[in-house]
Parts: sequence; structure tokens; C-alpha cells
Amino acid sequence: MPEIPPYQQLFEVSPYPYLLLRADSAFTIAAVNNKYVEMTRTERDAIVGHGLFEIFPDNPDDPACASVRDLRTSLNHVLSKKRADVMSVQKYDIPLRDGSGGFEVKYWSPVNTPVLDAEGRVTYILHHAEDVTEFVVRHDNDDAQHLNKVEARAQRMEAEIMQRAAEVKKANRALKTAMEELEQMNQRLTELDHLKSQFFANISHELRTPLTLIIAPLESRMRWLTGSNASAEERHETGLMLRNARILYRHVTDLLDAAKLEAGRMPVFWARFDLAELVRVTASYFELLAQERAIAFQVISPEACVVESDSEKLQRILLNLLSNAFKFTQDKGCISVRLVITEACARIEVQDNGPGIPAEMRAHVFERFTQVENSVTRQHGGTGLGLAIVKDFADLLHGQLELEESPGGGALFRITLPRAAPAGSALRDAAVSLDEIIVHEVMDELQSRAQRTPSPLTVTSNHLPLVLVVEDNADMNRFIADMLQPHYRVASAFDGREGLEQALKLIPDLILSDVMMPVMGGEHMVRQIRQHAELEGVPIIMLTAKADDDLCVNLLKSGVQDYLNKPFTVNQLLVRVDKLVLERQRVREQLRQSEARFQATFEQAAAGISIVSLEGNWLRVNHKLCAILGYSQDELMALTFQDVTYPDDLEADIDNVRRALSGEITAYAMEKRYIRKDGRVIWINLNVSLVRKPDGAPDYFIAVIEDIQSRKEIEASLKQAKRIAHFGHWKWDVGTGENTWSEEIYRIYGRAIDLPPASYQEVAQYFTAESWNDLAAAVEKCSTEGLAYECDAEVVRADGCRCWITARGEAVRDADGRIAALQGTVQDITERKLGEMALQENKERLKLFIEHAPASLAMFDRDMRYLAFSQRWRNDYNMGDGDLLGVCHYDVFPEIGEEWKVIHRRCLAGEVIRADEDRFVRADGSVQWLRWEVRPWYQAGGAIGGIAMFTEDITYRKQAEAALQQLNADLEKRVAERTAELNTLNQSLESFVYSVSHDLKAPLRGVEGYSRLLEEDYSDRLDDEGRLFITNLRAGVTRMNELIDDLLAYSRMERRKLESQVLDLTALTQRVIAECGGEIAARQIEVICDLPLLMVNGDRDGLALVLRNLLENAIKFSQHAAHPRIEFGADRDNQHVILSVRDNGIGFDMKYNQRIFEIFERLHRLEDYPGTGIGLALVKKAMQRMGGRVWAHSTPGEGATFYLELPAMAESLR
Amino acid sequence: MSLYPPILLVEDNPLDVDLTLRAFQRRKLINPVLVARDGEEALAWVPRWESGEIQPAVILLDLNLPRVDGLTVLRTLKEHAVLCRIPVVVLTTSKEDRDIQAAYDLGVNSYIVKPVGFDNFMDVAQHIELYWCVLNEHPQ
Repeated sequence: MPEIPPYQQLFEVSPYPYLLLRADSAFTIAAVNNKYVEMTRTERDAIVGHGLFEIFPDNPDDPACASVRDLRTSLNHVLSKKRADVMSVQKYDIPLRDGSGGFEVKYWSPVNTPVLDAEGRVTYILHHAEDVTEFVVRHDNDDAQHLNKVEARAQRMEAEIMQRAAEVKKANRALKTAMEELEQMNQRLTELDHLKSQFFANISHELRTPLTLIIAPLESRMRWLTGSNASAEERHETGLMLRNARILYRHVTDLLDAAKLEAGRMPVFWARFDLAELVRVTASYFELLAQERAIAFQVISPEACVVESDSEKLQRILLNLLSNAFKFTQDKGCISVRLVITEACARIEVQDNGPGIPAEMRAHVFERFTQVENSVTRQHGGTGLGLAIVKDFADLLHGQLELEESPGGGALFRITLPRAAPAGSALRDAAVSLDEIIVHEVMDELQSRAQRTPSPLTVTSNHLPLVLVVEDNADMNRFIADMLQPHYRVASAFDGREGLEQALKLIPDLILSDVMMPVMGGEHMVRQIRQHAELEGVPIIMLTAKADDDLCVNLLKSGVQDYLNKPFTVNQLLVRVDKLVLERQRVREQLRQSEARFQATFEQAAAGISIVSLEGNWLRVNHKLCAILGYSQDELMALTFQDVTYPDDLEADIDNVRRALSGEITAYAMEKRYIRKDGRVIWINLNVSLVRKPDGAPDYFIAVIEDIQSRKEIEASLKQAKRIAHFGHWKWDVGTGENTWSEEIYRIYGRAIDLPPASYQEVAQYFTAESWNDLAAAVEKCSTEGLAYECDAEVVRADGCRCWITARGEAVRDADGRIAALQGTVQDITERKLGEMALQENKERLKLFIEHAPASLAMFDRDMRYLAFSQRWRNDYNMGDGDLLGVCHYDVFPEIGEEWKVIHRRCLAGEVIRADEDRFVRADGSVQWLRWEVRPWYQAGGAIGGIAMFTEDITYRKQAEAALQQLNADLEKRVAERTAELNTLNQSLESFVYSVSHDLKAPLRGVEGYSRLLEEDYSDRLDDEGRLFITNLRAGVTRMNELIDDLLAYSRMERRKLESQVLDLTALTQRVIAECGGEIAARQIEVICDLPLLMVNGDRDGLALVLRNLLENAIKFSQHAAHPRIEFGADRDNQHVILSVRDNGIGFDMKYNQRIFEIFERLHRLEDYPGTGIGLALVKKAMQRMGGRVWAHSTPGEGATFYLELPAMAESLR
Repeated sequence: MSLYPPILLVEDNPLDVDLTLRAFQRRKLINPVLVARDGEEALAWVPRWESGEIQPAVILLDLNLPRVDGLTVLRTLKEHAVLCRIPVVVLTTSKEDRDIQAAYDLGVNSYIVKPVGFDNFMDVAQHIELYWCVLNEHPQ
């Protein structure tokens, strides 16, 4: 008996899409195969159980889409007629599952086949749809249908355009409203801006007063402290206060100035003073600093230089420029300030040899309030107003500020000032000098930069966590370090890049960083840090002066753990640092423990665990696995899993590995055999998971290996010792009639537990009549003959509930061998039974499917015995009505050739073989074309169970193709015939021309010769009129001769074989000009031919003929010009060379533009401009034959230009 | 019988024969001119030359001839072991490439297109005589 075929597999692996529909009103989808899912881009779970039309609705965009109606009609037809219905090719619109809401157009060739039950009712409809989109789309192209479609599309597009137009109109209205709103808002913004400037000025002013009152006492205290023997600590702290108070003062002053400037209310105090002195004094502030930093500081100035300007602002300018120079100059660098005077101007130059300012930045350094978020570009500290103030003040003083690269590579700032105040301005008596505090602050700032050094790392306290402080303000950096010092080791960095370097070097436990920093800003640094794996998990706290929510969110997003708003208290700082450092330590500890635990688990696991490379190498194995296999770890790791796998099991395992790698499965489990080192074969249970890298690429396998050898052995022995299992147990004493039930039996029968066990007669009511008949018979036999029984029965409980049981019973005999009692078990098997029934139903359904499938398909076991086949198969192969199941295919068709047997064998070995068209000669001699596919099917264990064959008769399609081929052949034949005809015609033309050349010329020569003789010998005997006749006669002959020559040339151009070669067009043109040199000289024509090298593809003689004709043409028609001039020009694009011939002759009306190229077309009387009317026709013909073009452009009286276009050669394109 | 070797003119058109003869006359040609009116007539000379009759200095051969065409005459002469040395000049109206090529393939010594203008024609006649009968050296 053949094994029950796995219909499900056959259904699934079918290369044709199938949909099994219930015969209900919604046509609920009962099952669908893989091909269908794949082709319609649906998901099985999403469609099975749903109505067909719920899943595939109409494309609402397409009013012409009637697919749903067609399909419904067809399905209803199947229901009513109980016959298969073949639909015409259908257009279905498949909703795209990418969420776009769009549709993809597909063409299907659907067949709906009814599946009838035993009573002939339609239970299912099999919907078989073949995707013929490509076929249809191809054929549509030259189809009348296509036109209709285009028309429909045009209509749709028109509707769309209307809709778009409406939308645009609406958008325009909205835009107009928005513009108005914008204007209002703009106005309001201007007002607000004005208010803001006012407010700024007020605030800054208010702030300055109390600040002055802080600074003054601090300064006096500082002086006092310097004199006293106060502690260094006290001096340091007072100095810190003073310095920062001055910084605040300067910032406030800067802001105030900026506000004044912005409001246009910055006063200028014009006075007469010595600028040389001012330069020297201001420079002197920097001398000490220059010494300390070993900077060569040079001041070049004349003795005196009296100017009328604002001394305070000039000093501020100088101070800022010098401060800037000192900031950017390295120790041991050089800085110079130079004052140069002329009659009207004074020029101050400040120059350094620092890094300089890149050209693209020069325009920006003077911009006021450039609060650049990206601090990489923020190269200098301070408020960023310093250079802006320089620029603004220079403008105020009518000076000119320039910035360029100094000869030494650094920056050179040059300010040129008029020496006289503007006419009409009032001069003050005394010059105003600069606010001392600002001078001090500038010096402080430079000083603190000079002194900033990273605080040394305390080596002794090595066990303390390490905090890296990244802060550009040296004071702040130092302050934070001091706060943290008792509890942490602290390292300092002063900008983001330094911070990153230090972090990578030290791997701190926490990083505290400012946001705004020179060179590299805090945010940028964080992003960089987060890209380094070694810094993973290092917490970062940002210090920010801006309480800006967006910034904070950005910071947290970019991998910052916390942030602190400036100003912050010491406690706030410590609490956050402590918390994060502790957490970091805790996490590290956890990680360490978890690693240790994993290690322990791995090594001590009761199962074998291994990590296996994608190729099968053991990368890591635990002790247990070694024990299972009997190898040492080292020995095992030199092997692959393939090496130790029992050969029979290897293929299945490798197949699983392949499926895992392809992504089909993520893990698999199987039982297989290993060969131990000692050669023993043992059974193991293998669980394998594929681990993928973060990018999804397979990385390695984790395999858990369980030794199940003993279990296998026990299983084997259990089989023999199979005993009655104790589920519900009963016993019936034959003698006493006493009945005992275990509780389980009460539950199974649904009998109240407080009742006594049911009597034998009572039990009958618990079963369906049919089941009871069988069961009672078995029990009867057991009680009389002592035969044990086992049978399934259906139980009906009092509440109507049904369930299935397995009842087992046996007789108990007394010492005399008489049957004393019966005992047995009752096992509830409802679940299994229902499962079996569902399975059976499923199998029945699929069996129905296969039998009714509209394709020929059959399924075979490994010995090629039929397991299943469709009715169509039976019909197609004329197999009659006999029962073929279990019969070998080769017995049914003894004529099957070896080539097919080979295919079957290859598929049995795992291959899938298909042919898209294959020719068969049937027994009756008719030719059949088949499309077929043979593929293996797999048993549950993964072994190949046999093969499935699918065939489809495509004879009708082949016939259509053949018809098409025949048509083509006919067409070709007709073309050949026509070509032959044309050839004949051509030949007759040739012989005509040939005879023209001979037979016309010979008589012409006669006329010519004799008229000449007549003229020479008899001229004295003729009167004037006679001589005129001879002259006219000879002129006619000449013209006739030319005409024949040109005609011959024309026809030769048509007939002769062209030799396409690479030609130097320039040289050819010059040669043609040279050939006409005599005529050109005689007519005093200026010929301009200044051409570049032009390489073209063409026929040398043909091209020469063309050029000669054009040149002669130009000569002819420019003969009456005052200064005849012919100019050759050239132009070229990627593929062509265009040569132009321009003359300044009589030209022509452009309405004759086409006619001039026609044969025998002439625009002029012969006596004015002689010619045959063939020349240009010849040119046109020649150009056509060479793959080129000729055209002309002219204005009457202004000459004509003829253009020749020829395919260019690569050389001329260089 | 002239001491000068003759020129053999092979030409069917009587007008052309007359004009050619006149052209030679006008240029005071001293070599006698023999005329063959078709290809057959031309080839009839072959046995006479073989039997020792004086060979022409040059044969002027039209291509378009009745009975036996010019190219056949040319081939016969050029395939002849001895007579192949007689210079043959094709004098014809045809400027066709195929005619020119065919003539040269068969070993023609020169190919001249008959000009229509009588003046030019006379120039050609003079050139032919000067070249082939005076300048050109014949094998002995």
C-alpha cells in the first residue's frame, strides 16, 4: 500500500498559482499556495479566511476596471453550472503592499474549476490564475486595445490636470494670504527688533554700574594682598574674582557698544591727539606678555603723528587687533604693529605669523553677533564681538579695514584712517582715553590663556574613578577640577579635539564637557566619542549656558547622559557626577558577572554547547560536548561538524544549514548521529540557531547538542514493553458485579462524582450507538474469551458534549484461569482525534484539489509509484479508468525513454528540472508541446519522499507561434522578391546610363567635330548669320555635353559603391580649392579657408565632388559681387562635423530652399548663370549616400551659405 | 608601303572614324592608319601579324563594338604570346569605373576618354601619335 501522499506539499510546490475558495457567498479563501502568495504579493495569514473580493478590491482609480464583476460572474457561473469556467484574460489591479495605496496592473488568465463532493454539490472552487502580464503587455503594443487604453489614460490624465489646476488655484489663494500675514509679521518683527536693541542698551548700562562697584574694591584689595604676606590661596581666589568680574564688565561693555552701534547711536568724540603715542602706549601693555611667551613683538612708528579722530575707539581697535594677534600666535612666534603716515592718511597694520584666516572665512570674522552653533568654526574665545567692534569702529571713524594674508603666513589687519576729522565736526579739547578695566580684562584673558595647563594627574590615587573635564575657560576648568579633586582623579582638556584625544588615551569613567568651545565644539566631540567602541558606556555630562530645550534634547539624543545648566552649584555637579560614575561601575560589574556566568554556563552545561563557523568549524566547544564526542577541546576544534557527522545524516544537516543561511529558517532542530573518536555511533539531538551580525549578515551558529543515545535505547525497549497506560482506570468484578472507577472516568463521561460508577447498561448511554456497538462487542469478547481490546469510541455526555476516547480492557483471571474480573483504561483522545479528522479533511480537500486541478500533475514515491495524480493527468496521458495508485510509472508507460529516467533520478536526488517547451510525438503521431517541471518532495524529516511532476499542454501557443513564424517567412520571401525586382530595375537603369554615355556622346562628337571643321574650313564662305548659326550650334553641343556629363555623374553617384574611409576634410577642402585656383585667381575671389583638423567618415571621391560643386557654385554666383569672397567654416558636436561654404553672391530666396537641391531645378536664366541644374542635386545625393546632410541658408543679395554635415571621427572630437 | 608602322584604329562609328582620321591628318600624322570596323575585323589582323606582316605601333580600341566587343579583342591580344607586346590604347566615350578596371585588368597600356570637343580631340590625336609612335620604344 503506497504511503499517504503529502498533498499539502504538492499544492504548495506547484509552479502555478492556486486559490481554493469556499462555495459561499463571499467566496471565502480556504487555502492558497506559495506561488499565488508570491505572485500577488499577499501574505497567507492576511487572506485565508477572508472573502476573495475583500482581499482583491477593484482599483478605484480605474473606472474601466471591471475585473471584480467579471470574476464574480465567472464564479457564480461555476456554482450554477458545476462546470469549469475559463475566463478571458483579465486585468486585475493588485494593491501594492508597500503602504503607498497604489496598484500594480497584472493580467491573469484565470480558470475556475468546481470541486464537487460525493453528492455532486460544489464544495470548493479552485481558482487557477496564470500571470500573463508580460505576454499581454507585449501583445498590447500592436493591438487596437492599446489605442483604447491610451485614450482612457488620456482622459484620466485630463481629469487629473483639471484637478491639479483647481489645487494650484487654491494653493495660490493660500499663498497670497500667507504673504500678507508675512508682511504684517515682518513689520512687527522690525518693531520688536528695535525694542530689543533699546532693552539691550538699558540692561547693559544698568549692569555696568554695579560691576564697577565690585571691581574697584577688588582691585584695591588685590593691591593690598600683593603687599601683604597673605596666603597664596587667598591671592588666587581674589585674583579669580577680579578677573571674572572684569570679563563680565567687558562683555557688558561689548554688548552695550553693539547695541549702540545697531541703533546708530554710538557717539564719536573727535579730538586732536598723537596717534604714534597711542600706538606705543597700547602696544606697551603687551610687552610683558610677549616676553613671557618669547614672542618677537615689534612696534614700528614715527616719532609723532597728529590726527583728528576718536582716541578711545582707536585704542579699542588696536587693543582688539593685538589681543587677537596674541591669541593666535604660538609661543616664540612674531607679531608686529606698524604705523605709517602720509599727508592725508594714517595706516596701522597689525601682523602675526599665526595660522592666518582662510580666504573663505575672511568675510565672516567681522560679522557682529555671529553666534555660530557649530563651534568648529568658532576659532576664538570671548564673546565673538572683538573683530566686529573693530570693523564697526573703523567705519565710524571713516577708516578702511582690510584683512589679508601676511607675508609670514599669518593674518594682516590694515586700517587706513583720514588724518583730519570730517569737515564741520566739533573738535574736543582733550582726547578721551580708554576704560582701564577693559584694558585689564584683555590682558587678563591673554594671561590666563598663557597659563592654562592641564592639571596633573595624581598617580597615587589610582583607584579613584577618573573624570575628564573639557572646558575652554581655564578658570572654569580649574574650578571644576578643584571641586572634583578630593573624590576623583581629574584630567583637563581645553577644547573638543583635545578632549577627544585625552578621552581615547585615558578612557575616563566620566566626561564633563562644555558645549561652546574653540576648535571642536562639545556636540561634535560627543558625536566623535560615540563612534569609538572603546569609549562605549563612558557617561558624558554637558555643561551648557543656554537653557534651551531643543539643545538639551539634541544633546541627550546624541549620546549625552546628562546636562547641567550654568550657573550650577557644587552640589549639583557632585551629585550628578557621583550618580553616573557609580552607575557606570555597577554596569561594568554586571557585565563582568554576566560574562562570568555565561562562561560557567557554557562550560558546565549539561548539554554540549558549541559555536560553529558558517563553514562548519568548531569555534568554541564546552566540556560536555567533548565528553559526548570523546575528543579533547583542541582535537575537536581542529575538526568540522561535517567530520564527525554520520554520513547518512550529513545531507539533511547541511540542507538545514543552507536553509538557515538563506534566511528561510532561523533555527532548526534534528536528531542525528555523530561518530565518536572511538568510532562508536551515537544519537544526539541537535538544536542550532544562526546568529547574525547587526547588519543582518550571518555570523556564526550556536549548536546545542544533547546526548540522546540512552533515550533512544530506552525508546526501543519501551516499544516491546508497551503496557496499558493508566489514564482513567476501571475494574469490574465478574462475580460480584462490583464496579470501581477512578475519578478521571467520571470526568470523561461527565458523570457526577458523588454517584456510584455506572452499571454496564448505564454506560451505553454515554456512547453514540455506533461506537457502543463496537465497544460492547469488544467487551463481550473480553469477558467471554479473555481477549484484551483496544478501540476508539465517541462519547456523548449528558450536556451534549462529545468527545473521543480510547478504551482498553483486559481480563483478569483467577488462580484457576477463570475470568474473574475485567479491568481497563479510558483515555480521552478528543484532541488527537479532532486533529486527525481535520488532517483527514485537509487531505481529502487537497486530494480533491489534485484530482480536479486544471493542470496535469502527478506525485510519485521514490520508486516512481503513483501516489496521486490529477484527472487531467489521467486524460492527457490516456491512462484509462484503472486504479493506478501504487503502480509504477514505468509499468504504465513502458515506452518511457532513458532520458526521462535520468531526469527522474536527478530530481529524486534533489534537483528541480523544468522545460518551458518540449516537443512530444504522441502515440497517434500528433505533435504535442509541453511545458513541464519535475521536482522532489520532502518528507517531514527532510528526506526526499519522491517527485512531483507538472505538465501543461502549450500546443496551442506553439501553433500560434508557428503561424507567426510562417507569416514572417512569407514576409521575408516577399521582401526578397521585391528586392530582386528592384535589382533588375537597377540593372536596366545602369545599362540605360551606360548606353547614354556611349550612344549619346558619339553623335554629339560628330556634331561638334563637323561644326568645328565647318567653322575652320568654310567660315570665309558663310555670311554673318551662317557663322552665328555655327556658334549657336557649338554652344548647344557644349551644353549638351555638360548635361550628359553631369547626368552621368549623378547616376554614378547613385549607383557606385561608396568606400567609407576616414578622411581629413580640411586637406580635401584645400585640395579642391587648389584645383579651382586658376578660376579663383582670374576672378579675383578672396577665399578664406582657416579650418581646424577635421576627420570625417566619407567617400573620398564623393566628398571631393560635393566640395567642388559647392565651390564652383559659390564662384559662379558671386562673380558679380564687387569683392567676391568665399569663406569655409567648420563646427562640430559630439557626432558630427559641419562644414559651411559661404559666399557673398546673389543669394536666393529661402522659399526655394528645398527646390535648389532638386534635379534640373534652376533659379536663373542660362545666359546669366550657366549650369545644368544637376550640381546641387548631385551634392544632395552624395551627402545622403555618405550618411550626411546638406542644407543652405540665404538672403537674396547677401550671399548664400551651404552646410555639409558628416559623421565625425573620434580624432576630431578630441 | 610606308616605312612607319601603322596605327590600327578599331572603331565602328563611321563619324568617329572620319573625325579621327581627320584629326590625325590635321596634326600631320605620318604613320598610316588602318581601320577595323568591328572586333572581328580587328582580330582578323592577328594571323597576318603572326605571319610576319608589320605590327602596328599602337592599337586604338573602342570598347563598344559590334560582333566582338572591345574587351574581348583586348583579352585575345593580351593573352597572345607575342602580340601581347603591341601597345593597346582604349579610346572610348565610357568613363565607367567598371570599363576602366576591366581594361586594366586585361593589361591595357592606356585608357583615354574621347573628348567631345574637336579641338580637344585633335590634341588627343597628336598626343597619341607623339607618345606611342615617336617617344615610345617598342620591343624588337
